[in-house]
Amino acid sequence: MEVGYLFYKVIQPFKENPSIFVSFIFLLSISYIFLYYINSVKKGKIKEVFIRRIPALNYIDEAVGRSTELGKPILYIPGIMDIDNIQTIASLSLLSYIAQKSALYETELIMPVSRSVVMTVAQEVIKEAYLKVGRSDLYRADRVFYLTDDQFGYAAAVDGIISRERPGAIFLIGAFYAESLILAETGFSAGAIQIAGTAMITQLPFFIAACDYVLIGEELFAASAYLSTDIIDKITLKTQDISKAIVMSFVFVASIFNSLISAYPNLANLPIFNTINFIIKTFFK
Amino acid sequence: MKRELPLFITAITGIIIIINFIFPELTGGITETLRDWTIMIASFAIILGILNLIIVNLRKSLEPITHLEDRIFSLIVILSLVITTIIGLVYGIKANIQSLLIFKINDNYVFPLIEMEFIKKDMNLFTGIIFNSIYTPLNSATFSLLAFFIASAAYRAFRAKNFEALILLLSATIIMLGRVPIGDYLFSIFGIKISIIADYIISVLNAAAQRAILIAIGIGTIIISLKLLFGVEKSHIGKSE
Amino acid sequence: MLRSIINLLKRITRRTIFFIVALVLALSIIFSNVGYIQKINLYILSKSISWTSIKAYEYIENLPEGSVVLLSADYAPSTKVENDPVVQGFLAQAFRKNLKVIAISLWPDGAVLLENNIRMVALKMNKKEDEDFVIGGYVVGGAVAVEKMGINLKNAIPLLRGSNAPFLNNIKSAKDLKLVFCVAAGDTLQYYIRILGARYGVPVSGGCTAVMAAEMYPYIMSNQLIGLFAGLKGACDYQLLELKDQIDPNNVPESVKNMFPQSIIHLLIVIFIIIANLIYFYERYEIKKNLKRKF
Repeated sequence: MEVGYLFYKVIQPFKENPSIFVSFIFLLSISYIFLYYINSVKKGKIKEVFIRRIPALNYIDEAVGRSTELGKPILYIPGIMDIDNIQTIASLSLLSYIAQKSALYETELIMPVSRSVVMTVAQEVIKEAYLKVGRSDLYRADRVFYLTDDQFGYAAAVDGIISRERPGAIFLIGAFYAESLILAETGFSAGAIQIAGTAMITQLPFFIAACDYVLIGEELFAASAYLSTDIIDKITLKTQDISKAIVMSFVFVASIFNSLISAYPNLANLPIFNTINFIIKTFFK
Repeated sequence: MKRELPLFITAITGIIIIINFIFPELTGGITETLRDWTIMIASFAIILGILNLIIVNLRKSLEPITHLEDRIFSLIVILSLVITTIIGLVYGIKANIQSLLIFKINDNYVFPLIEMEFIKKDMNLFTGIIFNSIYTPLNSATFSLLAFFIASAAYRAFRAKNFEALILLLSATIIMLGRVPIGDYLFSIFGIKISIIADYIISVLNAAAQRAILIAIGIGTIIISLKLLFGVEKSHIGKSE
Repeated sequence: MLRSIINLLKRITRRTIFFIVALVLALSIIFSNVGYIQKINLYILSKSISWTSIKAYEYIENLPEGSVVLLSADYAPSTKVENDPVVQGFLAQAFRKNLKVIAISLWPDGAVLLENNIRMVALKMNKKEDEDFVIGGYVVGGAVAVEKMGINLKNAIPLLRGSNAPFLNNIKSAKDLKLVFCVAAGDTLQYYIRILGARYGVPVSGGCTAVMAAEMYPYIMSNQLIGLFAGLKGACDYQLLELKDQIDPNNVPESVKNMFPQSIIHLLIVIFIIIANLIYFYERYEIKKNLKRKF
C-alpha cells in the first residue's frame, strides 16, 4: 500500500499539470547528455572541441592592454543582481580571467558591487586569480567594495567612479536593468573601451549602441568555457547546442503540423493527426 | 574537504529543489526549510554590505591623502545611512496621512484672490519627508537621465550603414511613433494608422525573435545550473578551475 | 546651401542634444496643460487602446464577485509615473467588482508606494482593510517567496497570519487565487508567470514598464500572460477603460496628460535620427564625389 501511495504521489503532479512531464523528460535528457560528454572527455574519447569565434571575448586582452598602456585602471561591473542569478555567476567566472590578466599586467582592477554576497565572492575570486599568477602582493581587498542595493543609487555612484577614475576599460558583465544605458553612456563619454555582456534582452540594444563589444545572451554563459583551457568546460557547450537542436526540431515539427491543421482542418480526423494534436494540447499547453 | 563540502552542499540542495519543482509533495518539508534559510541568509547579507560601506567610507574620510571633497562625500554617505536608519526605526513605514489647510493665490480673476484648500499630506517623517520628498525625486531624476542618453545614443548609433541597420532604423521609427498619439495624428493625413503597424511588429516579429533568444538563454541557464550542480563550475566558491 | 546646412548640423554635440531635449521636454510639460492639446490627446488615445490592455481589463471584469486576487506592486519611485496609474486602475476596478485584494510587494520601495496607493483608493471607494483588502507589505525573497506562495500563502506572506480577514480562511496557497496581478519594473512578472503560472496554473496578468514590454509578448501570445498594461500607454489605456465616459476633457487623468511630452520626445528622437542619417549620407556622397574627381 505504501508503494501504491508513493506511486500516486509521483503521478499526481503530472495529472494536475501534464506539461511538467515534458519539462521533466527534457531535464533528464539534458542531464544525461551533459554527463555523457563529461564522461567521454574523462575517458579521453574527446580531445578537442571547436568553438566559433566570439569577437567580444577576443578583445578582452586588448582592452586590458589598452588600460595598462594608458596607466588607467580597469572597472568591472558584475550587474546589479545577487549571487543566485545565473548571469552573476557567469560574470564571476569571467572576472577570474580578467583578474589574472590585470595581475599579469599590473593594472589596477576596481570593482564596485551592488550586493554584499557578490562582494565577498568577488574578493575571493580576485584573490585566487592574483595568487594563481603569483602576484598576490598586488591584491587589495578594498578595491572590491559594496555601494548600495538601490538600482539608481548604484548607477549614480558608478557614474561618479567613472568620472573620477577615468578607467581605460570598462566591463559590464551580468544582469542589468534600466541603469545599463546610464552606465554605458557615461563610460563612452569617459573614452573607455567597453565590453558588455548580458542575457537581459531588453538591455542588449542599449549596450550595442553604446559599447564597443557585446556578449549577446548565451554568449555570456559560453564565455567561461571559451576562455578556459579545460576541455570539460568547453564540452558543456556541446550539450547546450544539442539541447537547442532538440527544441528547434520540436518547434519545427509542431509549427508544420499546426500550419497543416489550420490550412486543412479535415486532417484532424485522421488518427495520426488526432494523436499528435492530443499530445500537443495535453503536454505542451 | 574545504572545496568538496560546499560543492556537495550545492549538489544536494540543488537536486532537492529540482525534485520539489516536479514532485512538491515528496520533498515539501525540506524545501520549505531550505527556502526559509535562503531568505534569512539574503536578509542578513545586507549587514555585510552595510559594514563594508561604513568601513570603506570611514577609512576614506579619515585618510589625509584623500581629496577634501571625497572625504566630505564619504562622511555624508555614513551620516545619511545612520540618520535614515534611525528615523526609519523610530517612525516606521506606515503613512500618517493628515489634512493640512493651505493658502494659495488664485490669479485667474481681475484681482488676485487668496483661497483656502485642504490637502492630504503624509506627516510621517520617514515616508513623508525622506521617502516622498528626498528619495523619490532623486530616484526619478537619475532615471530621467535615460531620456537624454537615449536621445544621444540614437543620434550616434542609428545610421543606415547597411540593409540590416536600415531595417532596424525603420522598425524603431515606426514603433516610436506608433506607441504615442502623435504618430496616429501625423499619419492620419495619409490614412494610415501607424499604431496597428507598430502593434504587428511588436506582437509578431518581435515576439518571434524574443522567443528564440528566451529559449537560448533558458538552455544556457540550465547548462550553467548543471555545471554548478555537478561541480564543474566552481566560481561561487572562489575557484574557477 | 546644402553644404552649409550640413556643416551646421555637424556641430550638434552631445551637450546640444541634451540641451534641446531638456528644453523641448520642459515646454511640452507646460503645454500638456493646454485644454486643446488634452482634448486631442484624449480623443486619439481613446481610439487606439491596445488589444493587450483590453484583454487584461476584460479578464478582470469577468471575474466573479468575491474572488480573491493578489496584487504585487514591484517597482521603485523611478517608474512611479508609469506604474502607479496601473496599480490605482487595478484597485479601482477590483474594488468596484467587489474582488478581495491581497496586496504585497517584492521590492522594499514598492511596499511604501503600494501602501500610499491602496489607502488612497480604498478611502475614495469606501473599502475597509481586513474586509475588502489586506496589505501583506514587503515580502522578502524574490523568486523564493513566489515559490513559497505556490505551497502556502501565509508562510510566504507572514503579515497575512495576523489578519482577521474572512476571505483568507479559504486561501491556503496561490492555487486558490483567481488572479495574480503583478505591476513590475523588473523580473518579478516573469517569476509569477514561470512559477505560479506555468507550475501551478494560476492566471497571471499585470503591467510593466515600456522597456520590458517587448520581452513579455512571447508570454502574451502563448496565453501564459493574460494581457498587459505596458508602460505609460498601458497606464493611459487602463485609466480610459476604467473611467470610460466619466473623464472630463478639461481635466484628464495625469497619465493621459503625460502622453503629450512622451509624444514630443519620441518625435524629437526621430528627427535626430533623420538628421544623423542626412549627415551620414551626405558625407558618403562627398567621399564618392571626391574619389570620382581623383580618378
